[in-house]
Amino acid sequence: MRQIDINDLKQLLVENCMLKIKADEIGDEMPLFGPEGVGLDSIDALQITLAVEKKFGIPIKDPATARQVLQSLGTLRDWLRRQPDAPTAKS
Amino acid sequence: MKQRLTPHGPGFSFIDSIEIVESGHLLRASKWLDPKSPFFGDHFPGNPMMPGVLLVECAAQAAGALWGSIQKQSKPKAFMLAKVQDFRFKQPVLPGQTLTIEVTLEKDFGALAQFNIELSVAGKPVAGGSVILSSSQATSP
Repeated sequence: MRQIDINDLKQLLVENCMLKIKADEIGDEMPLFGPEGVGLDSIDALQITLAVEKKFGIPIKDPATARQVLQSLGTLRDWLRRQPDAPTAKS
Repeated sequence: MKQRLTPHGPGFSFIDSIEIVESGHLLRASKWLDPKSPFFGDHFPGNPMMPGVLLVECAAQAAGALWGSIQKQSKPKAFMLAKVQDFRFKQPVLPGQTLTIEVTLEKDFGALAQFNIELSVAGKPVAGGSVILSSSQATSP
């Protein structure tokens, strides 16, 4: 199983999304979407999928998969760990 | 009657021709910039040049043409502009010049799609960046 650092994923959010809260306030299980969480929208979801593909070489192929995978940084980390071809994260 | 290439009226259509270079992926469009276009009179008086926001509009319209072709739309479809990012303007674009607009699909993602666009004049890059279009009236569905 690949090692995925949650801080790499947090950095990915910072670089690709218009965050309304500070990165260090984002908990591993905090919902990424909706008013009770990080507050991302569907445009952010598209940008995250592109960023994940570029950083890890793993495509999130469709919106239905994205809805499952992008519930929180924790679900994204766990999904990335399960992907067989996930290379080590690029710095 | 000339075939419409965009869903816009003639006063706001910024594409004269399109060519699908690579099906589902790459489209090339062109636009001759008529010196009589009203915006050249005021942008700027005595020093006319194409407004940057209209270069972005050219890019968005070409991206819409590509997405419409991917969706096999029978007529031009009105997509909504959801995001403009990383646009750079490298050279002034002048009346009488012909813009070439090359659009590449970066990601088709349900109701949203992201495109990379390069605009050039006579082979020289003048502007470029990315846009996200939405097929929904809500731009962040």
